[in-house]
Amino acid sequence: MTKYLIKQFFASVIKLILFLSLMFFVIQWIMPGDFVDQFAMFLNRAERENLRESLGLDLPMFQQYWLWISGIFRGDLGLSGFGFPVSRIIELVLPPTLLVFIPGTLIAFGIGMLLGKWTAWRGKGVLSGATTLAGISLFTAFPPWLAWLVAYFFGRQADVSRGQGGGINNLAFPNISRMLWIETDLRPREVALIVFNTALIVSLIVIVVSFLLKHYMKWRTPWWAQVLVIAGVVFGLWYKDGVHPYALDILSSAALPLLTYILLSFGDTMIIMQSSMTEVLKEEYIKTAQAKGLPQKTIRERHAARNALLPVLSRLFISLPFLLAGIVIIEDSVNWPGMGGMIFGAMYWQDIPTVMGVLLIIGVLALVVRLFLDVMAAYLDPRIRFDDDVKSNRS
Amino acid sequence: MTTLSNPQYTTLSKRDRFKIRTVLAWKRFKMSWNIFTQDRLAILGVILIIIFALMAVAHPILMNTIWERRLFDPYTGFDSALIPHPATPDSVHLLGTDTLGRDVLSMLLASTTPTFVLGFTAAITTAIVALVLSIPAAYFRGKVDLILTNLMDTMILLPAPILMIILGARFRDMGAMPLGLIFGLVTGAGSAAIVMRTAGLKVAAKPFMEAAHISGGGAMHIMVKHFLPNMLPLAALQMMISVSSSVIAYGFVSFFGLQRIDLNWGTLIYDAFLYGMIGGSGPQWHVLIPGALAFSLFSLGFYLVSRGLHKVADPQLRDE
Repeated sequence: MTKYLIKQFFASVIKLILFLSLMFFVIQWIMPGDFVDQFAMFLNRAERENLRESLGLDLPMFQQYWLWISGIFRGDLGLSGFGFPVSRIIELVLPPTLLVFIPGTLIAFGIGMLLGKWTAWRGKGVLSGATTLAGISLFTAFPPWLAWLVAYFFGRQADVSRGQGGGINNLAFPNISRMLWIETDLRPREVALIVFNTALIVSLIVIVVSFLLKHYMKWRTPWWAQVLVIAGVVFGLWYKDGVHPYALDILSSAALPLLTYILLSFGDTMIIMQSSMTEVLKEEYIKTAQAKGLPQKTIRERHAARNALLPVLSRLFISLPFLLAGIVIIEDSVNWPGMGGMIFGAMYWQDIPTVMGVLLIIGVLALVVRLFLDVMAAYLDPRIRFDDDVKSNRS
Repeated sequence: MTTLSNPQYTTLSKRDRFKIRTVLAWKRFKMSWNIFTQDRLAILGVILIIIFALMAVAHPILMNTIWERRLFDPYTGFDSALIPHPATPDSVHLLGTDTLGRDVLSMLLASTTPTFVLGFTAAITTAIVALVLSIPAAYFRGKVDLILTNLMDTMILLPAPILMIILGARFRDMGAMPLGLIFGLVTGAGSAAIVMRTAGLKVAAKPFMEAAHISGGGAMHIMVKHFLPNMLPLAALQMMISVSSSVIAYGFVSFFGLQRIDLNWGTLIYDAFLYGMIGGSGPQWHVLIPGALAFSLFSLGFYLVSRGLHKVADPQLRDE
């Protein structure tokens, strides 16, 4: 298994380099002139040449390419149109996005899995058909419209005027109670970072501990207990630092994009789970299990659902670009100050370096999620775990 | 080749062969159609697509017969008898008018044609690119497969809808067709090619492949005559999925107000939001709902058809 994971990791690095090269050429195609032409209008000819030289724009193409690639591995994404380093902007907008993306994807995956399992198990019928149709309808809904509806009916205020002006100035959290923040030095963005960091670290620790318990002590911890422990510990940490009212305010602000994102994306998982479960239910070993007289719940959970989950994991990474595009659109629609607000604000100002930086981060995020899915597949599928020679047989 | 010249082994004439082929193809189609119609949701999808096709045809006919150009033009129409705009539905303007005084129904119908153009461009590009990349990968394996798989895995990191929005904002004169082309290229080389390659590997493992090898079929012959027909149903499935998601992505491009060459349902929603907020008159439901519903139903129609096609392409999914 370790060998498999190391192999996957190096394959990801190669894909990352390929992706960066692709992005380099896309940028060369999209940029209207070079950086100096676009943003340094008030310089004379000599100054322009000096600037070009200092930025390395007079070098031949392959040297520029080398500078760009090596710069990215040093964390240098270039300068935005406003003179900020793009990496600084990414640092600002990444935590709010992940605050919606990670829990949203997990919850949507859970709901989709449950509903898919359930509809496939029930077979044809009015209720299953209606659930399927509802899932598909939400999945094919126009995301900004869905976001607006959610904001209109559930938001404290339906102020969904988007990206006017945009850019750096527009990065405030929506729907936070202003009175709360007047009396403190804390900024919403710092609190969002704290919320994200504590939640991530605590969840990782809890997951690893429960895995170890299961592996060595044979103690199965139910998923709801894990969720309870995570929530309790995280809230305790906030309470200790005295940031809990602010953290809860940020979370209630995040509920809007989170709800929209879940509504939009659970249908995909549901459909794949449904068809994969229907396929599994026709297998011989299900008939054997039925004939043995095993309880229906055991057949459904241990025999069918576990095997049906594998294709779902491998298909999930195919819909990953659409999930990420969806979250960017939703963020922009409800004014959430993540990558969505950033990318469209930057586009409004024709600030191509920032746009490309954000697009690059989206690609890297997709790569990381994919690596995670590979690990999950290896965990679930003994064929991958024990047979190192098996080629990654994802569909 | 003496056997062929022997009169005992005369082959069928071209016409007869054509006849037999048509009959066989018709039989196959009927069988597939029977499987397809077992899925009620798939029939619903077909009906939705037919309705949208009728909408696309209806607009120019209505414009040239009943609708006066001054009142009903989707870009410049204005009804001075109705003030203030937006006006709620009445007997003349069946869906009312928007803030600029344009007839909503006329805009709704006029947006159908560019949407179809985009959807079909995206679908055809997706299918061609995915087939061209996946068949050699499944046939040659080894190094070719390695290179092509890495290419596909790289392309999937690039979210096509966002790339479309960026390009639409940067090159403001991009119409439906180039945008569809971009979407098709990215998804065709990315997700569609990955799915098709897996299917191709299954085709390559079938016994008739070995027979084709032994009887001396060349690489090109095997890829075109044996791989392609077996992968076409799956390609059709990918085309339908591509239409369904590219149309939503097209809506984004015009929704963000960054590109407005062709009229689009996204434009409708964008204008309703924009002027609704400025005027402070609250949401214009009679503009918003038709626009949003049109998107959802168009996308839904193609998605449901793709589900029906999936059952035709993949025998394992059928109900006994």
